Order: sequence, then C-alpha cells, then structure tokens
Amino acid sequence: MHTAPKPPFIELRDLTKTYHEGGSERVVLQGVNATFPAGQFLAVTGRSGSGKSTLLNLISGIDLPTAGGVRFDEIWLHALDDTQRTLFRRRYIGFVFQFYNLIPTLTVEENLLLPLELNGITGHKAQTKAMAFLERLGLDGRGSSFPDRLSGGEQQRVAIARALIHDPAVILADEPTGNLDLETGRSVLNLLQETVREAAKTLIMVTHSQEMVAVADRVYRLEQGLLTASASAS
Amino acid sequence: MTSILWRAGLRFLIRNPWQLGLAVLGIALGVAVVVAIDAARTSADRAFTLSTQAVVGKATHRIIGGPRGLEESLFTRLKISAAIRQAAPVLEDHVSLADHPGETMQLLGIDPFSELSFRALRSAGEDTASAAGLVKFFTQPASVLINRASGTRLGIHLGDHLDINLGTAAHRLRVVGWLAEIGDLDQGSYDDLLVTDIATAQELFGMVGRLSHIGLILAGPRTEAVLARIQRLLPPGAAVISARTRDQSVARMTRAFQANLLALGLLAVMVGGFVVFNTMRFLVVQQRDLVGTLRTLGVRRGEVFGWILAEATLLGSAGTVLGLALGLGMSDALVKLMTRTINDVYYVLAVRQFSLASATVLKGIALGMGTTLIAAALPAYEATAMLPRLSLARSHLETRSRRKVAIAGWVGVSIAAFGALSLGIPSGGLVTAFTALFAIVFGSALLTPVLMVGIIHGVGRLLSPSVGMLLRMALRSVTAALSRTAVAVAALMLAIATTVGMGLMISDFRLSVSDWLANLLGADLYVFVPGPTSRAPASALRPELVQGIRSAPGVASVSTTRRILIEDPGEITELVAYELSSQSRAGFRFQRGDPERIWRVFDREDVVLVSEAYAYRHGLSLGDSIRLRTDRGQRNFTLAGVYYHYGSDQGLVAMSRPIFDRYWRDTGVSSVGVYTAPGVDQERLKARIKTLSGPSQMVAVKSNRALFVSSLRIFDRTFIITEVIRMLAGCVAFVGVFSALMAMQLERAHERGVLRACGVTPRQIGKLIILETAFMGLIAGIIALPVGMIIAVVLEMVVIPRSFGWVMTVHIVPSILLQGLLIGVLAAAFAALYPAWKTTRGTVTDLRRHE
Repeated sequence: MHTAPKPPFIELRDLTKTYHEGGSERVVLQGVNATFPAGQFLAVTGRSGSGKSTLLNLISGIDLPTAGGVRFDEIWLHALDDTQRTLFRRRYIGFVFQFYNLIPTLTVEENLLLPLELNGITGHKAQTKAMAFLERLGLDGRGSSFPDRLSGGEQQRVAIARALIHDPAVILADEPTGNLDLETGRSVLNLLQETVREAAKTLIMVTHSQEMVAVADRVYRLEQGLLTASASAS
Repeated sequence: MTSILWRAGLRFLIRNPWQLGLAVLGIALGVAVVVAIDAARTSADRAFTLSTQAVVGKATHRIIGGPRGLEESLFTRLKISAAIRQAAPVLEDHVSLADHPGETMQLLGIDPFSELSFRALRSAGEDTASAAGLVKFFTQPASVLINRASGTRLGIHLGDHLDINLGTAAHRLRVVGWLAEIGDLDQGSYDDLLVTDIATAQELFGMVGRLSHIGLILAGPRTEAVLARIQRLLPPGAAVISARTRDQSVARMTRAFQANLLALGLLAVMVGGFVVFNTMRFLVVQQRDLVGTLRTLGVRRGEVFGWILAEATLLGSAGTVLGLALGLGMSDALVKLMTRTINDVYYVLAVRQFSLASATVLKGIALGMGTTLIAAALPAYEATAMLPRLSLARSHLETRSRRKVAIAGWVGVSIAAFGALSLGIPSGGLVTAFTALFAIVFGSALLTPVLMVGIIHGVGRLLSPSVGMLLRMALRSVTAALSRTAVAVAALMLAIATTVGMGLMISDFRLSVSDWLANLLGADLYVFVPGPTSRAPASALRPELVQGIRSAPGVASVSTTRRILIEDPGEITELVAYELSSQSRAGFRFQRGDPERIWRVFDREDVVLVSEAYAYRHGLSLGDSIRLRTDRGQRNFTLAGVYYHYGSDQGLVAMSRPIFDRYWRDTGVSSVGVYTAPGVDQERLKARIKTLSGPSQMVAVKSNRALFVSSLRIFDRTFIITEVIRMLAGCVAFVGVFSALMAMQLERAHERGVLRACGVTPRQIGKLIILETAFMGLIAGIIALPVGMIIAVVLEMVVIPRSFGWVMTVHIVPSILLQGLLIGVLAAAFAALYPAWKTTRGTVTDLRRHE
C-alpha cells in the first residue's frame, strides 16, 4: 500500500560543484554545509547565477556534486547508483520547475497520472486523486487539455499538482513564479505553501519573492558559492 | 514501462506526421532495395536451375563435342559396343518466336524411347486427347509439345502453328500436345521449353546426323569403369563431363556480376542505413527535453531506453512491412532488368516465375529492424546515460556534439586511411576492394561534419561586415545546431558522393566502350545472323552467302569471324576465329604484346590472343600456354598478345582462321565485315547482300554506325540496373535528408516567432530557412565531389579490374559533378519549402506557442 513517506532530515556536507567551461573552471558551490529540518518551508535566495538551481539539482540527485554530498536521513545520495537515485527521486521528491516542464504530449490529467503510475498507483484510485487535485487547483474541466493550451499560471499549477500528487516527502521548487505575473505568482505560491504545510512536507524553494521569504520557516542566502542562514521568518 | 509513457511517445510521433511518415518511408526504401535485388537474384538463379533441369533431366553425366556437336553414330556405339543402357541423345538450342517479339524458348530434340529414364516426358490432358497428341508427336514431322502454362501465356491452343526463328531461317511447327509437369522435376521446369522429336530438331538446326550432347545416367560402384569404357569410344574433341558442370560454369560466369550487384545494393543499404540512423537520431535528439523531464520525475534510465527502442520497433516494423511490399513490387521490374542484362552479357535466360525465398524476407526484416534498432539504440543510450540535468540543457548537447564532431573526424580519417591502405594489398580480392571502398566512403561520411564546421568558419571570416545579419544567422545556425545538422549533412554527402561516383564510373565505362567500338568497327557493313538474344551463340551464315559477299561488286575486302563456345568442366570458353583484313587488324589495340610481332605469327603459328578480361581471370602472361579442347583433342596454344575487348566480361580467346581450321572441323562463319571500294553506294550493296541471303534467311546487314549505336544501346541497357540502384540510393537518402532538414526547421518555429516579433518579415524568414538548408546542401555537395571522384577511382581502378579484368581511365565529367552539387542544393532547399511556407503563414503567437 502506498503511504506518504515521513519528511527526512536533509544534510548538505561540503557540497561542491564546479563547471568546466572552455578552458576555465567555474566554482558554483564551494563546500556548502547545511542541515534542513524535516517538514519545514525553506527559502533559498541569491542573485541570478549564484548557484541556486544547481543546489536544487544536487539535492534532487538529477546532478552529481564535484565533491561532498547530500544526505536524506541515513541515505547519502551520491552513494546510490543511477537507478537507486532515480527510484529515490520517484518516491521522495516532487520537483516544480520555473519553466513548468510539463510533458507536451500528455494531457493535463495524464501529466498528473504519470507520477502515480510510476509509483504503482493506477486505475480508478489514480484518476480520482488526479481529479481531486485538479479541482483543488482550480483546473477542473481542463483535464483533457494539452499543456500548450493553458496559460502560464495554469501550467504552473499543473506542475505543482504533478509535484505533489504522489505524496513525496520533499518538494523542490525552482523559482516557480519567475515566469508569472505578480497576481498569478502570488496565488501559485500561496497554493504551494498551503498544500505543503497542510501535508507537512519539506519545501525547499529557490525564490526572489519577498512574500515567500516572509512566510518561510528558514531563509538561506547563497552567495559566492556559500550558503548562509540569513533569517528565520516565522 | 507505463502506459502513460507509451502515450507520450506515440503522441510525439503522431504530432510530427511528416517526420513519422518520412522516417517510415526512409526505412521502407532501404528494405525495398535489398528485398528487390535479392528477390531478382533468387528468381534468376531459380530460372536457370529450372532450365538446366529441363535439359539435363536425371542425367548424371553428359558427353559433349565441339562446336558442331557429336556424331549421332557415337550414340549407337555407346548403346551397342559399350552396352550403356541409360543414354539419351539430345539436340538443343534457343529459338525466338516470330509472332512474339522478345520471346525466347529452348527447343529440345529428344529420342522419346531413350528419354524414359531421363525425363519421363508425357503429354497431359484428357486421356484420348493425350494419347492422340502423343501419336501425332511420334508420327508427324515438325510437331512439338509445350507446357500448358506457356501455351496459355502465348495464347497457343492444341493444333496451332508456332512460327520460330532459328539461326538463318524461319520454321513453322505445330503444337500437338501439352507437356505434363512431372512430379520428379520442380514446378516450372518446362516453362519456355519446346520438345520435339530428335529427327525434327536435326532438320530444324541443320544438324542431320549430329547431336548437341548425350545424357548418361551412371551410378553405382562400377561408374569409374564404365566412364573409362566410354572414354575409349569418344572421338577427339569429345569429353564426358558431370551434368552439374553447366551449373558451375554459369555460376562462375555471373559471379562477378552478382557480387557487383550485391555490393551496389549494399552501398544503397549503407546510404539507407545512414539515413535511418539520421532519422532515428533526430527523433531521439528532439525528445531529449522530454527524456530529461521524465528522468527528473523518476523514470529510470532503462525505462526511457526501452521506451525509445519500443518507438523504434514500431517505426521499424511499419517501415519493414512497407519495404517488403515495395521491394516485392519493385523486384518484378528488377527481374526484367536483370534478365535482360544476363541475356545481353552472359547467357540466354527467361525468368517466368518469381521466386521469393524466405531468406530474402528475413534479410529485409533484419535490415529494417536491425538498422532501426541500432540507429535508435546509440542516441538512446547517449540520451539516457547522462545525468537528467544535462538532458535538459540544450547547450550541453551542442557542446558535446561539437566535441563528438571532432572525434568523429579523427575516426573518419583513420577508417578512410585504413580503406586506402587496404587497396594496396596486392593479393586483395573483390571483397577487400569493396571493404576498402566502404571504409573510404564511411570514413568520409564521419569526416563530413568537421569539414562542414571548417568551411562555415572559413566562409564566416571571409564575409565582409556589410553582409546582412540574416545571412550570418543562416551560416551560424548550421554550426550552432550540430546535434541536428551533422548527421543530416553527412547522409546527404554520402548520397551525392555515391551518385557522383557511380555516375563517373558509368560515364568512363561508356567512353572506353565507345572508343573501343569506334576502333573495332572499321568495316563499312556487317553481316551476321541475329541470335534470339545478343549473347546467344550465333548461327553460321550460309557458305554460299559468304562466298557471294566476297565476290560482290563493290566489295574491296572482307573480314570474318567464327564464334564458338567450348564447354569444359567448370568453364565455358568463348573462342573467336578471325580472318582479318589489314584494315581490321588496325582496329585491335593491345594491352600487352608487340603488334608487329603478333601479326607476323598470328596466321602461321599455334598462337592465340586473349582479351584483357580473360588474361586477368586466368592470370596469364605473354608466352604462357593455353590448353583448348579442339576437334583433334586437347591442344596447347601460345599466348601472343592481350587486347582490349569490352564485349564479354568472361573474356575471350582469339585465333586466326587458318589455325582454327587446322584444329576444328567447323567451316561456319558467324559474321562478315565488308570493306567497300571507294565510291560504292553502301545502301545498294546492303540491298544486294540482302538479296543474296534469300527470303528464308534471317540475316542482318548493318552499317558500322548502326552497329555502333546498337552496341552502345546494349551497353546502356546493361547499366540500367546500376542506374536504378544509384537512383534508389539517391531516393533513400533524399527522403531521409528531407525528413531531417524539414524536422529541424519545424522545431525552430519558436525562434522564428521571436524573429517575427522583432520585426523580421515572413518573406525574410522564408528566405532565411531556404538559405540555411540550401547552404547545408551546398556544403554536402562540395564535400561529396572529391569523395565521389575517389569512389569512381576505386571502382574503375580496383573494383572493376578485380571483378572483370578491365582497367579504365578516370575522366572528370563536369556535368556529373555539377549535377551532384545541384542535387545537394535542390534536395535541401526543397526540404525547406514546407517549413518556410508554414512559418510564414502562422501568426507570431502561433509560432511562439509552438515552444
């Protein structure tokens, strides 16, 4: 039976990421150390190009660090092989991208069904859950539409639904409102925050939104490759 | 794999119907070429086996004679003196049907009583009719049996007359019964067979008292002893050979032809394979974003890999099924072309039945599915092996592509160098030559992208700053999207190079043949008996006619030829006896040997000349001894010279008429070349010779010009099949490149939308798209020209000499090169038309939504 996993304690230890560009090296993260308590809303701020997205990529395991590692409770991500990392991500992580990254060849409903199917939830149960999410996100009636027929705000709401629908323990959101107008952005963020808090998930969000910073449990700032806890809002 | 993943993949294909259709078509054409060539080869082989079966029957051995066959009395001696019970006399030749132009049948004269053990011939039909037919067959002269299928095809009924042309005369036969298909022979063995009583055949062939061969059934422990007994009875010039010898000889004759056909087919397949690879790679590359997103969502590497392979299986299956159907459809036309070439160049063959071997279908399936799966597996592995974050980054893909292009360039140089070095292996045969050719071509294809980048950088530097931004964009976009453009340009280059290379080879071949014919055909008129096909053994002209021509007013001098075939175990040698006037001698060009010395000994000593092809096949050098079976037994002749002759790839042996007359009891003349006296009206002389030949004579009198033209026509005909394969290779490549370039342009709709939003007019965008693809076509064409020339050089200086023994000179024909360049530019520009049209018609919003 599919039960929602308990949010893990996350540790970043000496996390380093270097990119090779042409003949030169660019250090994006240089030995980041941090611990993220379970079930909290964590905001990561920083200037463009400071490595915020890289940090999320490393936490989710879709990229590997040059040195150091990410620990989820007792599991060091870098110690897992690709398949294990993928299965871990499938089960424990929901990802919300700035550019939505919905599957263009699947309908809205199918985009939501995909993570469920990957986690072995199919049939009537999956469909009921997808319909419920659509309704909750104000997308009822758009289930059979393809993503390119939706507005940016609608697409991001679908992306949030897709990230949450399989009950992951950790939600990673990479500037989820970066592409939306103020009003839509605000409603999307509220929706994300409420949903995550309601389900007691860990939310790590890269954001420039001061509103989000204000409601986050912890705020971190990424600067010159180092992560520092800058404030605790609530 | 989840059903939703399936849906995502399928919808991607359905949303790109052009790409889907063209990918399937690309695979289908590749499969069709292989299936069509293979089915045509199988059908020709089968037809030959059937025709041999009909003549040989159950015989284990055959006694053969010289050009005039065997004395009939030998059969009697075998039966009585040697007590050989299972022996059957046979007289056979090919005849053409007067009322059915182009139809050739094999006329088999048999002794029905001796035949029982060999062929179990019987007349089919209702009992009474059948019996009546057989009675007529035995009692009425000029009666024949034919099988019912052939009768139906030709619209012949029992009792009908059948007019045949045989050698110098026309004859009328009467169909008195149907030949029954006999269980112990394969279905179709009696197609194109006319069976008559041996006495009738002897009269028809003008060989009263003579036989073509005697069939023998020898089995058991005493076979060797019986053979020895038979040998003692044989006259000089006769030999007993295994019945299967003919199959082997013919297999040897066509081996090089078949090998070349196969290799050309493989070249088409290589082009096809490259195109399928390009198509599949493109499909995968386009789905990398999707792959990245799915991997981020937790779809495993293996699942994505399996999904891409499943997609490829779907495409491959559709393409293979379509290709099999297309191939079978095309093979009918290819069988006709191949049969015509075999008839023109090798031997008389009529292919009535289409034979489809299961191996042919399997080859088609293996090619279609195999190439598609391999083509998909490589990029699928590449896409899934990397971290999900990298799959989502287009910049990473292009960076990797640039690196890979450089690596591919080095690998290409190494493979091409390996190919070039392999050509130098002195003992290398045809397989080595083709391996080397493929290595050079494949290596060049790998080298193409890096050359393309170099050319574009070079052109970019040369462009003055005043050149418009659009042109700069067109240039840069080719190198900026190497993941899309590299393989497409390489595939197009490969197709153009193949077309140019084969085009140059055919053109040089034609030039060599044309030069040779112009030298050879020195006489003003040629008189000969037209055979049922151009390669059927020619009958002899009547001696009175030859004499009449010699003494006709206006004839300054004549040259004559006598062409015979000498059958030996494993080989059939073509021997030509020349009586040459001094003008005719001038037409011979020698590859080896001093002409002055050659002509000094030609008429006096036991010397022979051989054609270049014959010398190559037998590894002969001047002064070597050549052993021939003459009517006076085996004799050795000294090789005095090697001359150029493109008439037969088997090569031929030539000797002077006086020497021929010394060893063969054959006074026939196959053709006469007439040199007219100055001021003689050739048309009148032609008419006079026609009159001399009489109304019943099937004699052709042709001017050297007409013969030159008809010979070149036969040459062109034999190359139609090569042209067809060349065209098919071109089509396969065109479809693939068209698909890739069009897809590339369509996927950039968003970029076009941005340009439109910036104020670029639809017309300018249309121009940009066409310019970009045409530029790629031009680059492919520019690189293809030297590669095409290298292909021509390898074909002409290595492959053809090793296949046929002919060495040719490579000429650069500007029109063929220009044609290659045009094909490249036009094919590419044509692919841009639809995207250009679509882009210019959509609104800016539509285009941006396409993202």
